[in-house]
Amino acid sequence: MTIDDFFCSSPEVLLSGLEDYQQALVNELLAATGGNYEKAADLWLGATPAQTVGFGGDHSHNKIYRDKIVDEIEKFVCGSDDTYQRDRVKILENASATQQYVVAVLSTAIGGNLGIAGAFLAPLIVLLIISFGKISINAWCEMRKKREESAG
Amino acid sequence: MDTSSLNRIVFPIGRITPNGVSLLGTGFIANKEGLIVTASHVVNNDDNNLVVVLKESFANGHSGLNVYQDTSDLRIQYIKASILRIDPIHDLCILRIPNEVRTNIQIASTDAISVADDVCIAGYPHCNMGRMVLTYQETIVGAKILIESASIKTKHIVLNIQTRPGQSGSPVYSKSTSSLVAIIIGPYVPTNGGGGISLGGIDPMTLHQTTHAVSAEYLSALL
Repeated sequence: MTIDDFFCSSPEVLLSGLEDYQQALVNELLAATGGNYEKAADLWLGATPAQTVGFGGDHSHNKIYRDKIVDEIEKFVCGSDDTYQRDRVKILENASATQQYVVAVLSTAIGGNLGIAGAFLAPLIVLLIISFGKISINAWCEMRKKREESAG
Repeated sequence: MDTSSLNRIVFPIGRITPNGVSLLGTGFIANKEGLIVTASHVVNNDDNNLVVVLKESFANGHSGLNVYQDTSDLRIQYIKASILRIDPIHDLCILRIPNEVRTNIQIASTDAISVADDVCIAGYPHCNMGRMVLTYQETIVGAKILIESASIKTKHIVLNIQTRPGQSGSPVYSKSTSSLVAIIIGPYVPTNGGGGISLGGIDPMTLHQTTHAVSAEYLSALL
C-alpha cells in the first residue's frame, strides 16, 4: 500500500490501521458524535475526566490543536518541506506496507516532531484523514495550497 | 493484603530533565512482561526522556515497606520507558520497559467491590515535590460513580481519603481479594468552582476526602 492508496482508502480500511483498543475507543467517540470525524478527533485531543484534577504529570506542554496535526499531515504527505522526507521514503521502499505500517510510520514521525507519543497520535491522524474525504493526495495538497494562498 | 512486596511492584514515574529526574506520578508493574501501568495524564502523551524510577535502597533488595525509608537518601536508579498504549478517555497508559518483570496481579473491576468495602492504595504522594516515600493507605469505597470524559461515561469509585499530587496512577486493591480494582486519577474539583489558586503550591480546592479512581476493567483492552 502506498501513501496515496492509504489516503484514498475507505474509513473502514483506515480505521483497521489502528490497534484493536484504539479502534474500540474511536468507535465509541464516533457513536458519541453521530459519526463526525473532526468532532471525534477534538474529543480525543481534549479528553479528560470531568470534575477531576489529575494528581501527577508535568504541564509544560502547550495544548495541541487539530489544525497543528493537519499541518503536519500536510508536510508529510505533500512533502512541502523536508521534515518527513526519510519517513516518506520508508513507506515508498516497503512494497508490502500495510495500513498498520503506514499509520505507525505517520504517527511515529509526526509524534517525534511534535513531542507526542505515536500511540496518542495514531487515532487522531486516522480520524483526520477520514475527515478529508476520499481524495487523492495531489488533489488534497493542491486544495491546501490554494487555501493557504487565499489566506495570504 | 501482603505489603511486603509492594516496593518491588509500585514505582515513581519520572522524566529526565537538565536538572535531574523530575518525578511525575506513580506506576506499577502489570501482569504482562515489561509493562507498567500509570495514568495517562502522568506522562502527558510524551515519552521523551521518560523513566521508571527505583529508590536505590529498594533496588538493592535490602529493604521492604516495613523498614524506615530514609528521606535524605536521594539515590536512585532508573529504567528508560516508552509509551506503548495510551487511552486518554479513561486516563490510562501502558509503558514499556526493557526488563522481563511482571506480576501475577489479578485485574478486576469496580464491579467487584461494593460501597463500604475496604481497599488499599500504594503510591508516592508528593513525589512531584521530590519526596520519594512509598506510602500505603487504607480506606473504604464511598460511592460508585460515572464520570464523563470525551462524552463517554466511565466507571469510577470515590475513595474516602485525601490523596496528594504524585499519587495519580497508584493501584487500588480490594483488601479482601488483593485484586486490582481501580487506578487513582485525582480528587474531585467542581467544574465551575474557580480553582486554579495555588497557596504554597497547594490548590485548596483539592484538600478534601473525595478521590476518584477509574475502574481497572479498562486496562484489559490495553494489556
